[in-house]
Amino acid sequence: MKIRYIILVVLIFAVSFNSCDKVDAPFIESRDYCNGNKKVLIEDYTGHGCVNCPGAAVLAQELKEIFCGRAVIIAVHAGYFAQPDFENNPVFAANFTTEAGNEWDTYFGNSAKGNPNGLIDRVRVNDSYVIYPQSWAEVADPLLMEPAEALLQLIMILMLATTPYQQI
Amino acid sequence: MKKALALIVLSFLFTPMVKAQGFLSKSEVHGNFELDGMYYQADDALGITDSIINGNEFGFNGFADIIYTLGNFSAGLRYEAYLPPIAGFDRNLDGQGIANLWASYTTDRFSITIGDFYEQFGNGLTLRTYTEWSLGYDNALKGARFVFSPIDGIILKGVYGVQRYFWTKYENNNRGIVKGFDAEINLNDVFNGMSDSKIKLTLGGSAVSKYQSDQNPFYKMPKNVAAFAGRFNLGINKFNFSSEYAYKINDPSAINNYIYKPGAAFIFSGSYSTKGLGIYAQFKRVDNMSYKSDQAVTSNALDINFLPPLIEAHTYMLAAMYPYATQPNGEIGFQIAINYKVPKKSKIGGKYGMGVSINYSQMNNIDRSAPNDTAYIGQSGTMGWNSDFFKFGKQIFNRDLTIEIDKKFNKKFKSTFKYIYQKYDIATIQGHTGEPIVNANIAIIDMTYKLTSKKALRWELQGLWTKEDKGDWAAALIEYTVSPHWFITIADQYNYGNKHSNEKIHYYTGSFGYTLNTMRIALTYGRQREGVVCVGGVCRQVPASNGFSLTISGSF
Repeated sequence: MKIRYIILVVLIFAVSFNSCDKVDAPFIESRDYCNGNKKVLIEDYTGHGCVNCPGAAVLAQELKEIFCGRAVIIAVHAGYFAQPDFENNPVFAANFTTEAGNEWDTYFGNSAKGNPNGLIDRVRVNDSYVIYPQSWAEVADPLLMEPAEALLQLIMILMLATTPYQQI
Repeated sequence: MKKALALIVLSFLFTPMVKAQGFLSKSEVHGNFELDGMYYQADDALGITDSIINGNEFGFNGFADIIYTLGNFSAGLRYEAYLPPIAGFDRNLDGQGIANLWASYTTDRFSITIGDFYEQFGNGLTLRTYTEWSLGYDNALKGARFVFSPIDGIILKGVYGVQRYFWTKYENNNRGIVKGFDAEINLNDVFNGMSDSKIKLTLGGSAVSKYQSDQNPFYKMPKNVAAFAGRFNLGINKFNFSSEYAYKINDPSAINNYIYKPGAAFIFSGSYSTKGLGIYAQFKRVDNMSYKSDQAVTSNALDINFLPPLIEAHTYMLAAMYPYATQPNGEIGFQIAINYKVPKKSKIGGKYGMGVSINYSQMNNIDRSAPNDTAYIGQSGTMGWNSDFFKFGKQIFNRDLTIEIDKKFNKKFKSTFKYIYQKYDIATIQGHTGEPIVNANIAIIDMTYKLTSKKALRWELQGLWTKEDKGDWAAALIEYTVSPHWFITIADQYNYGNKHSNEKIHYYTGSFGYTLNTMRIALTYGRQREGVVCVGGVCRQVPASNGFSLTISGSF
């Protein structure tokens, strides 16, 4: 009888071992982001007093490179960590907050959820606009696969025979 | 799930075999609740202005557990409200509703639970779901749990479900599905020949797996990540030894910066206990052992496993200023604790004896080297690092020496004297990048004087001296208790050593409370200093605040 239970336990553990996916190198998936015309907006909500925010800014720049330049980054200084601290630390004396940034921060609730975080094209994920840096790439990826809804281009053509230059 | 629960509840409620009278007399309803309210005030000294409060003057956290039992059947629900969460709690908690709902049927040999449940395998290295109200933490599994004990001494457990993630409903594999199995055998119960043996031996093993679809555009993510653990507990007379080793396959995540190194955790503890003397020692090593049911989550949520802390948990005001947070990416350390009771009527012990305890713990980073010639340590998309199993890294995360003496002088007067030395890597543990390691000396005197059989006066004097962080602190507390109902407390923490004159702040609080049977109400007014609150190595940041707080709690 006891043997029966031991066999049962061994079988369950054997099944459990099958619930593993060992991934072999190379671990990075190559994806061509240079084929496409849509850009995504990364709004990085930050503050000079936020110790984890520089990492998010670096990540945003890395994503821009990975996305073949198809990311537009803006940093929004807002909330508690963005408050200037004139008296105690000259490094934090500057006020980088803006009226628009404060309004966005209040509306989307970024600093209330804890910096660093951001908005990606202001899309909602799981009922929230606020997206933490670790999910920026995940959210931006499918957006970059879509075609741009509108494409504005500014092209300079030199028309020597007529006027000095012409804008199209 | 709710329909299934309702069906089970109804089936029991309307079982014809149960007569109405017997049904009512055998039914029991129990529960407990806690309501925490906070009213915030602007405080120029703390840098809290009306614009920062921005109209959010109130915070409220509350819960109530209601449990119904009828014989082997039990069912319960947990209502929670964070309207909005008190400052320092995760803002994702904002909301209210039925957080947990469950039903269970239990006999001597088996138990089945559906709905939300808590479970732990061994020490929790592969699986532990629990709730901790003071952290706003709840990683309950929603699904099914089965416990089976075929014979005395053998316990088999199986779980299947998804974890709670604040108020976000599970859909479209937005987090992983967790399944696990645990087996434990007590050899003394199973084998008759060992039933009277002085050697007590228990063996156990567990296997846990999570499934999450690959949603990461950059890395090849494993969809199924499993963890395994083996453990034993051995008792020989006055000695006890226990150990557990866990192994996890490649689990790239935001916590480990998407490296593919397998994870491992090992704990070993030994203890000796005899009359008047207890010795306890523990060793622990963790290497890349964060295990969450969503690889993109970095906050305190969705942890499948638990890495038990090894540092002494301090509760006194200043001693709790630098609490240690478990470093799941890697830590190695040990703890030694000695408790000795100086006998009564001895020269040192006096009439009532004296308690002496010494606790030393240290936690270092693990030793790491680059995984290969072309990658740096911890580089994402690589194996991360190589590490010798028993080699200590040079970086000390935390060192703690605590010496405590408990002395009763007479029937009315007793006291506790405590000295603590702490070395604390505030840059790593609290994320204060660039700040130097804190070396702090702390002294505490805690005295209680019984005025009458029901009235007592207790006071604390504390000092913390350090050249780093915010400098020196002094604290005092006085508490008057009228048992069993009333207490009133006044306390102050003064940061007199702060190098900025405008930050030499008094953090004063006054509180009183009333207890009636299992009900308790407490009102506090004062300042809360900025800091970190940790329970079991899991921490949350607490911002500075000023205002009233009200707590009402009870059980029935």
